[in-house]
Amino acid sequence: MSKKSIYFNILMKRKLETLKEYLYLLAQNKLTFAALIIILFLIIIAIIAPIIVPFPSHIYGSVNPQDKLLSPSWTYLFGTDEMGRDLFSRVLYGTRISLLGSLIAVAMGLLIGVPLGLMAGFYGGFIDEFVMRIVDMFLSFPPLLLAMAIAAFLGPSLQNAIIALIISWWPWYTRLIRGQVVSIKEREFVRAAHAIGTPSWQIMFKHILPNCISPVIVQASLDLGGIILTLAALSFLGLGAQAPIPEWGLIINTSRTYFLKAWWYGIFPGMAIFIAVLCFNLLGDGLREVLDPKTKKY
Amino acid sequence: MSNYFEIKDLKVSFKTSERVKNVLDIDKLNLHKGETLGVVGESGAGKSVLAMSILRILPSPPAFIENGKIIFKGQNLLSLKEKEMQKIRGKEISMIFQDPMSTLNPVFTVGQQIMNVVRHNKHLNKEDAEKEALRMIKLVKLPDAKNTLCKYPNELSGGQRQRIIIAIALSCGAELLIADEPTRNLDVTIQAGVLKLIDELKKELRITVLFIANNVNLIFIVSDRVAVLYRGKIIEVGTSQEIKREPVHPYTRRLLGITPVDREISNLIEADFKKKISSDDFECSYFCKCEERMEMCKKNSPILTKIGNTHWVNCHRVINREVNNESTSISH
Repeated sequence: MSKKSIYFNILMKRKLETLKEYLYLLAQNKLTFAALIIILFLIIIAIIAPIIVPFPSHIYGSVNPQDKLLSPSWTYLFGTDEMGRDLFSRVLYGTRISLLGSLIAVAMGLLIGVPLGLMAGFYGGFIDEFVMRIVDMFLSFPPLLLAMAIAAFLGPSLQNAIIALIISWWPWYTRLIRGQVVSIKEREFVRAAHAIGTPSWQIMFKHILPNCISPVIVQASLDLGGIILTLAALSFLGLGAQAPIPEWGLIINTSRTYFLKAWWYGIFPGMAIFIAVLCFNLLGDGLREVLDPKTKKY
Repeated sequence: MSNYFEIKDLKVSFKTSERVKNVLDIDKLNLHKGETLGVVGESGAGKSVLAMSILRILPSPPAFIENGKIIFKGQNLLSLKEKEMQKIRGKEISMIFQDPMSTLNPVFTVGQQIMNVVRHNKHLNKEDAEKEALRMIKLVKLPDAKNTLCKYPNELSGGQRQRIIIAIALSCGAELLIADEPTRNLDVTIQAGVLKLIDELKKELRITVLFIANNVNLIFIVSDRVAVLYRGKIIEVGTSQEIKREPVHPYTRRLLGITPVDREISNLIEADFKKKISSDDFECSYFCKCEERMEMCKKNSPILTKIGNTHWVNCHRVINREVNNESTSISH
């Protein structure tokens, strides 16, 4: 065994310990722990949805007029819709669309927003002014309204709805991270790094970014829920996913017509949205408690 | 050897919305290779500004360097481009900061931080960087190097952290080390340890040290020569012995606590203080508090003048006395 492996073993062990500690702290809060379990469950469902759904053909097309608007039974756990499609299969598959959509939107938002905020805060001056005024412009619209306008402009489809969400969401991250960078930048270790000749990009990404990322993580996990909701809202308004995509918001939209005859039609996708959003919010709160030293309970 | 490192007519000012305030005005200061020059002065004298302007890391919108030259190995640092300066920082001139508690990045282990610096500056691969990091940790005499490498800064004590910081500062082969109050937040025994370490490293690596502190006694322990800074001006330079045994500038004398207080003059000073007369109104920056002030101090700015082989001072009274002595000795 060389020296290298000894050092790296210790380091890995320590990192694992830190991770364990964070997980332990997360699990301390029962609600967060439950949310974490449910989210893991939802992710698994999203991944294996095409395999486990009882009626794969019902996800998109397939019309079975003889089975239309059946109430929940053992064959059709969540009942059927007006075209006789199994709602359980559709809602299950909808998990995949909603989670993936919101993950893409948040990831892209971070990818655009974080470097911009980092640059604005680090360089200051003109770059800061320029970026932050653009951000201010975006932030002066209510996010849902802006997303609606962009989605309407791009034309209604799932991809365009996600693009609209990215465009209306990145400024939040930029503003959040810029504020952090401005304060971290003045810390002694950043000046010290500068004094021993560390290049700017390394100071930005190695010294500043890791020190200001935790509020962004919290915000992103809260946003995962918020974006599921907004994506569903866009689809509900007809600006997002188009039939026959089994998007939760879209299913609720089509269920409006049968609201009095078939209660199960709107309730189950609504419950799905409710659970997903609630869990992400709980997880976000839990993460905040763990990551923010001010609320840390030891 | 006198032009190893030299500061000439350096003027640094801070620009505020109201006025431009001159904070550093150094006519002449040089460092010989291999020596330790101590810079001492009260808070706000411009010690840190001096250190930071050498490395050109002063926050630039408020601070700007009006004119002057900082010559290091024949190169004027102030005329270098930022890119060239980047090559000087860390590799030629390095710096230790005041507060060991906040100078290390809290999210990385000590090893990661040393290795990061070494890898970037010496272009080593991971394995060599690790060996180098271990070597540096042993160099600063920390026990249990391997485990220390895997520790986060919050798990180390102040003294240990300061040693790590020294290790990082010296890891790229700097030959001039600027130590800006490296022992500020440490208790006395740890201070002694860090000072001893700096002294040993100086001999071992043959580096030159610019040691900044506001504690005169500390300065006398570590430095070969001492420069006294007051309100941005160097008022006395000499070897440690000279400054310690025969300080001549009234401020230095007071700093060392060897000036008897003259009632009459101190009343006068108090009266000045009540009238809100500021030193900015006079040419000699020490005028307001000086107990040996003269009429000419008001109007003429004293110049750093040689009074001994290695002893320079910036005071009219002392300079005049010297001149008189010389003239009397000639007439005899």
